[in-house]
Amino acid sequence: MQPAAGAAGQKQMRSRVGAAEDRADVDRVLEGDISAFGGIVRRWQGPLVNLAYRFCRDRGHAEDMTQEAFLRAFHGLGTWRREAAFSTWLFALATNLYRSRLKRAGAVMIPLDEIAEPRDPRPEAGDLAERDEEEDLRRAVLALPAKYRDALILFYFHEMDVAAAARSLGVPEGTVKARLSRGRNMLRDKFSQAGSGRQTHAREAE
Amino acid sequence: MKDSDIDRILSGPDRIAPSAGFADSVMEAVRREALRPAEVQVSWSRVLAGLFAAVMGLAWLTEQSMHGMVQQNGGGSFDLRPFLDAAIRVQEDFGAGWIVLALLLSFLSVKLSSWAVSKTVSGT
Repeated sequence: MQPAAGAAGQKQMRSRVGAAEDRADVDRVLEGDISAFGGIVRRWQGPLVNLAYRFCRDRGHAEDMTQEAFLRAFHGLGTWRREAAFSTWLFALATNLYRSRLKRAGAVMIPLDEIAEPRDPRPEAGDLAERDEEEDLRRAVLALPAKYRDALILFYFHEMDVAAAARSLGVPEGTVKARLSRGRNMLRDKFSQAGSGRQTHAREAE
Repeated sequence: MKDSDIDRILSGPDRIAPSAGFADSVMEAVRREALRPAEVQVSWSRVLAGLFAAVMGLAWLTEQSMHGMVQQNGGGSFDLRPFLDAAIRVQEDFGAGWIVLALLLSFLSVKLSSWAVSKTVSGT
């Protein structure tokens, strides 16, 4: 029990230090020291690239979108109201940008019906089949209607924290919970169908 | 598939690290942006107010000039014919129809080009 509490404490401490650094860097940038923005970029590049990657599953595209998010943040630093954490503001800004970029580019290129169909009725090696199924599930999330996709992506990105996902999306927690539930149902239905399809194929092959 | 499977897979380690030099390229872009002159913010409320004032002023001027012409005609009815004659003469002398057509074509061409560019950019 103690190690977990210790880890949580350390995480909280790191987050407090990070928040203080964010505030200091933002102040310096607003005073005209552009190089201070480098601290913000170094601290947040990992999370923002990973969030973008969850929206598009393409590294190059994710980095392009992240760069644009940082540029928007740079221009909009003055609009950050200090009562919310800088990270909350930054994630909300990035989430909005990623969603609008995907909407403009027609992000869902693969219809849900074409996702997660059995690749091969013959049994695959355990690890490989499992990895395929995991990747299918991640791609299936992208094929969901945008509001369910966004709720699922943000919920898991924020380590299953509904409140954080709601803040990033700018909607009430109840809305996020409802969308998560509906999104999970859609995924479960899709994968149950795919699973039963696999079993039928396997029986036919025998 | 159960909720716990979905949770396990979607919250599992699926992370990428930004490319080497990513932070530097972001900072380069930030510096470039900082050097660019700030965009002029258009205040649409002021534009609309100005437009409204201009239209009202024009209406007042037209009303005043017509009023003056009616008085010049000795208070009789207002005759539009001299204005129409003048407009037709201008059209004949300067090819106003062609000028209007050229302006319309230019406007359409600009609109079409920006539409095509925005489609290309969003498609990439």
